[in-house]
Amino acid sequence: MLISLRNVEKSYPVGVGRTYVLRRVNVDIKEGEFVSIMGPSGAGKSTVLHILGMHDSAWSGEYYFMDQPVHRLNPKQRSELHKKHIGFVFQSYHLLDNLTVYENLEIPLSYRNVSRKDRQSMVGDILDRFQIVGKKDLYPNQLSGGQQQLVGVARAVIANPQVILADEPTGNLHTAQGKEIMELFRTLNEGGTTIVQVTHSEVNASYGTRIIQLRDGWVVDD
Amino acid sequence: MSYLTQAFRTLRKTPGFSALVVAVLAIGIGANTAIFSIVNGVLLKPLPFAAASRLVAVDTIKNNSPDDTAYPDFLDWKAQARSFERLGGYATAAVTLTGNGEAASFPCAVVSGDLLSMLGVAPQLGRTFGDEDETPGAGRHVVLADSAWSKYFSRDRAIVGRSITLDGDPFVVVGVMPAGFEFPFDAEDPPEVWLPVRASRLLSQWADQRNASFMKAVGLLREGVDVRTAQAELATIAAGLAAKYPRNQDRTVLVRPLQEVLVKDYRLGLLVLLSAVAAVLLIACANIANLLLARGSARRREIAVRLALGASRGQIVRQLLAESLTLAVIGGIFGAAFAVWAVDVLVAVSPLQIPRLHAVHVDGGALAFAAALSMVTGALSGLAPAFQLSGSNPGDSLKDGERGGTGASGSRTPGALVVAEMAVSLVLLAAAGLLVRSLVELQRVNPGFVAERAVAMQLLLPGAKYPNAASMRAFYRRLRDGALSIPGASAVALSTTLPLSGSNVDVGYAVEGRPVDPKVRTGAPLFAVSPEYLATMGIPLVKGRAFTERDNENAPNVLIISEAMAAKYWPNEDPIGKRITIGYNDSGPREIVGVAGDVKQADLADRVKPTIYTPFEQTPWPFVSVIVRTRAAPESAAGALRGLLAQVDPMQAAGEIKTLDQYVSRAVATPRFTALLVGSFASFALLLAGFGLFSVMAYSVAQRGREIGIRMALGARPGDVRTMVVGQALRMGVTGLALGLAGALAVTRVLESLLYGVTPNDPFTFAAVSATLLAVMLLAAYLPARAATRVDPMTALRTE
Repeated sequence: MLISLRNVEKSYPVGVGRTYVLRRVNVDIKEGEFVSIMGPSGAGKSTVLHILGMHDSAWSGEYYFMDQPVHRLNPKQRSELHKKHIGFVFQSYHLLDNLTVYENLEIPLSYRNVSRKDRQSMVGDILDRFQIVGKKDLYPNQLSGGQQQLVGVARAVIANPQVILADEPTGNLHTAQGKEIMELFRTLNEGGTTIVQVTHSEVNASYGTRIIQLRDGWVVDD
Repeated sequence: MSYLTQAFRTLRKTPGFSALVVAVLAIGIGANTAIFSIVNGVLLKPLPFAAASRLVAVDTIKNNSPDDTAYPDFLDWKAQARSFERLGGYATAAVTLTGNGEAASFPCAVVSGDLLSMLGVAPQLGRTFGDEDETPGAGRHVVLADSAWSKYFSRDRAIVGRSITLDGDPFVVVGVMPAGFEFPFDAEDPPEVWLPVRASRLLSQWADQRNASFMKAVGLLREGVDVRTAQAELATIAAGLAAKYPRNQDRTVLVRPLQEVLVKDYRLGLLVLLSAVAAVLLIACANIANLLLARGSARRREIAVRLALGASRGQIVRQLLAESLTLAVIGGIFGAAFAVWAVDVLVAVSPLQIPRLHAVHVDGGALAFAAALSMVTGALSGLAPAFQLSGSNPGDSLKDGERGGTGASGSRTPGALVVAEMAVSLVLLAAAGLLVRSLVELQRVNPGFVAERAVAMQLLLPGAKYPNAASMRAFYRRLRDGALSIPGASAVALSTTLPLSGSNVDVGYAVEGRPVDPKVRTGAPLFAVSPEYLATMGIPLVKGRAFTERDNENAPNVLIISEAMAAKYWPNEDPIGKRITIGYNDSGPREIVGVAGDVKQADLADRVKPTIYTPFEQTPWPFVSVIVRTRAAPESAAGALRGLLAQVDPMQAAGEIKTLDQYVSRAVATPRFTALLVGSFASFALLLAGFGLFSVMAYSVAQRGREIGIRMALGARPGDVRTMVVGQALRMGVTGLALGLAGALAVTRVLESLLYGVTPNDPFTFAAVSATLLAVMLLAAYLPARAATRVDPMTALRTE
């Protein structure tokens, strides 16, 4: 199993009580799956995704990633695990404004201590693969939303992760651009990459092989 | 891409912010580097002599305080002491150069034979003196300073061996010291020539008298001998001399490192300045940390993205530190340039008589200090924001649609930094306030004479031309009579020295009918004055009469005493008619004919000392000041005085010509300079602290836009919002104020010796500076509070 969540809960103290964002979430995801997490606003979709992405460490329960007990790892070990295996795509792209396309793609590699020479060839490959060589010296504000998200996806896959976590990846795009991104995910999934996306869109969910429904922090359908 | 490149790019994106930070840092680092340069050049750097660490000052101690040494005592120390490789002596005086164009009078040092060679600085031309120059009857030799060689002899290399005329006597130039060589140190009047003691007509007459103390001694300790050993040996020698000579019974010896002795009077003032300027830099660091925190808050999402992309906390900290260090290094570069300029200005305007001050410049050591300071500043101001931002949970910031979190604004760090800024500012303000009040008190001190509209010219008559009292009297009479005809002159007087001029004659005295303790020397400042002196100076005659023309060399010896002396010896009696003997050529007892008002002699802050006035005609000296009281601006009389001197004796050089106002002003110059600098630093600190509070409040208001919008939508009035914002600021400010007051109460004690007429915990000063800080706080809080009331509830709520 690639990912296993067991009784994962997340809550905030409110006054004397607690408000729960996630309740006893149990999810298993196998390698090569294309999973869509759906549900209304406030259901806890993004929270699950950030827990999977190891950005969030304030939760209880058990989380196994490639059989490693994430819940028992210290922040440094989690960071290493995440760096090695996970790529993240955001709804608002979150490209770094003061870096060019090339530099945005390079930055995850530099955080992984990849040598300068290897970085150059890996960024060159990905620019080719995503057909954005001509944009490499442009800054994010010089790109359309679709182009920015294309770079966002390229940045997520550049370090060859086993899993891509995508939080509403087409939420800020118009239909044609959204379709292009979803096709890209499909291609990546066909190439063996596991995809977990949060989406409101039935159409986007149809690209996947499985839908997990959340409501008020509970998994109500899988 | 390197951290540095990223840092540069990030900073370029916000040029206004970067420029502001760089400017604050440049001023902070520059001011620190400038003051450090002065402290380093004066207090820390070894003296510019060979074996400087082994040089010690050897002082005679009389009545528990260091005094000058008699030349025979010095020779005995030199002959008997084994702790020293060499022992040299010196005294300062003035000489007049004639026969080389216009007569010129300048400072000189009269030295023992091996003093110059002991210091280990080779002359650039010729030689220095040797032991042979100390023997009675030795030829008159002189060594020139580089400045005198330039000024008077056009750097003529053939000067060595030539004869020049000093004080009317021929002297053979034997050497020229290199540029920059100075000893003894005198920031205002460095010596232009060095003469052996035996060659000085003035001092050689006292060279064999054990009761004439006029020298200071410097020793070079032998390798391996420490100060304590030398002290013990000299104390034994001094005890031997005391047993042998009754006059030495009240004398002992004190050996101290020379550098320590030279700077002891200035150490505290300089360290206060250094502390004040360091405090300003600390406040600047806190301010910049707050600005970085506020900006970092806006960058929370960027940092979260980097963390999500795999950056470790260390990598984020390094990147943020690279940014603050880049700012600090740029600030440091501008700061170093600022320091070069500031040191020049400070040295130029400094009235401090600090040894070696005029040689201070921003050197390699100061630049290294600036570089280190830049690094420390960058780290200090960058660490808190870096750790705070890198420690945030990226998940919170990355959830799309999530409302802008409170981030850094929710932390207590900015508030704590502002509190600290306020506290440090208050300490600085209190220090500055005390120094300013002390200065005001000092300026209120009545010097005892009227300083306005009076000018004085100092003169030193060469012994060769004016060898006796009669020739001196004749010269001064002509000069005084001529001065009366200067246009605008309302009165003219003569006096050996002037109060607050820095030079004085001190004589021993004995009051008739009072027991004399041979172990205690009673001395008092002596002014040999013309009959018009008290009236011309505006010194009141309290009792008896002033001198008259009849009090001449043929009349009975008389004197006038000051009120302090009258109060000391005759508190309930009339001193008129009582008799005092002074140490002037065994001239016998003198009758007191008058009592004059007290006058501040050396310093405005000093207590008035018992003072003695004698008629100049009865006690002539080769040096004198001519005082001209004028009806118009006194400066106009200066030229006339020079012209008059040229008529009376074309070969006589004029000494210092100054108005009495200038002497009074010079007496407060040091406290004024210290107060001005500390005051400037405190003002800058206050400005920074005010700006710090303003920026934190402005940021807080911006962050709380939605909350304020909701409050206003629910019916809050502008006054309620203002009160809320100002209240938040006041809580920080008052906490800072309280901490600052506690700090100031503890810290200002060290200023005690710099203060006059005000206690270190003066309630008025503390209340005034607290009120000032409070006013700045209110202003800094009011502006964001006013902005808060302009929040449009609809806009604020919609943007969320």
